[in-house]
Amino acid sequence: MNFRNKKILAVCLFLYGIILLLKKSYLLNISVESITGYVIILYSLITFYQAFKNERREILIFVTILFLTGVELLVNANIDIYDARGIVFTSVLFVSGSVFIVLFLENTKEKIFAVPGITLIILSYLTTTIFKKLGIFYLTNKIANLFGFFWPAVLIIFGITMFINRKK
Amino acid sequence: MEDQNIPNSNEDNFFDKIDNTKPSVILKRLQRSRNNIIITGVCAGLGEYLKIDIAKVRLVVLLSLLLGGWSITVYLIAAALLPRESIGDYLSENDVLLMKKENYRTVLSGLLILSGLYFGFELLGIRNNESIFVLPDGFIFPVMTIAAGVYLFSIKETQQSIRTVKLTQNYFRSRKDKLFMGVCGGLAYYIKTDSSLIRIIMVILTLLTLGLFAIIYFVLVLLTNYEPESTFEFPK
Repeated sequence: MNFRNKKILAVCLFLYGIILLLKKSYLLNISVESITGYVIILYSLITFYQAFKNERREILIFVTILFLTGVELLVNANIDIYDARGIVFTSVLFVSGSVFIVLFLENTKEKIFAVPGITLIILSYLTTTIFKKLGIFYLTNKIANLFGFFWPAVLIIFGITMFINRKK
Repeated sequence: MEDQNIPNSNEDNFFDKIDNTKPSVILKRLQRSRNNIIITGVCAGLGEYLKIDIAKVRLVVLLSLLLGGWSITVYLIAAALLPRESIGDYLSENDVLLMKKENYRTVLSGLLILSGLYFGFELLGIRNNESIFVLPDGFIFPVMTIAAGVYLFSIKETQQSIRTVKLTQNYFRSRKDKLFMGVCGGLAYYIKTDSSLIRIIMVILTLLTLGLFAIIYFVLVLLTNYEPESTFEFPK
């Protein structure tokens, strides 16, 4: 994270804290999800511009994911979604597709990133239409149930592996 | 007559007297590290003081969040009270980059273990959302956020924060940093990030998307080449 990104993050955190305090003091009537969504979108938009200018690919990717998470938070705050697990499947495909598209836009010489990007975005669209009719959501829900039970163990194993394999 | 006034012995020499007053043992001080910093250098300072692996201190501090979040308060107090190391060890730019990479790796592994334990406890019903990360009245979190913002704003620009590494223009599969086909290693090199992180994300995404991400992996395998042998050097 460079100096300018730190300043942007600092301002966003400061704003976030102030708005949360105002909410807790009953001076603002807005949900925490909405506040978080707005702040995340603000931060990601400014940082995206900076990262694009400074060729910081890792930040570009991080900020793309963050932006879409912010949008999802806002959508969640304002619209009731019946099938919460179904949206995870679609979102994962759409977000990862967007990441590849951003990588392609950052360096248009690398057309290789456009292929998975467009494929994933098309797949994310298909999940809401054809895949749903084919009953794939039944399978995804089953896997999500399994994953929902075992993912803490997966996280712990990954964490321990990384910690053990660190260079001393 | 003039010669008699000049002191002959060492004891008469004022500068030698000063030199003799130097303590023979260097006292160990608990202080914040100057070089090995992630947030304020408290953990590194503690590790150096206790002669423990700094990564282990960081892991313990992260995991202590499970005890109710009071370690954050203790950490902040320590950061405010402990002096910063006056002279840091000389480190080259490469050493600093390598150290930073390893530090973030430690934090990432700690966060993974912490989240795993947290959600594991929640699943098993040992803890609930209200009793973990104790933040009474919901006011401490906003205050901490503001404090973090002010702290970040107060940081001065250093030469280290300006990246001089030129980014690669082409994406190749990695030869050196590969577990299967070198896609993740190549991506990590292209993005300038840790390959383990890319691998973890890839595995999780493959699981979440019923293996659809594995197709993307193989598309990348098919459409990209391995890096040229002579020019590729993995960044230290």
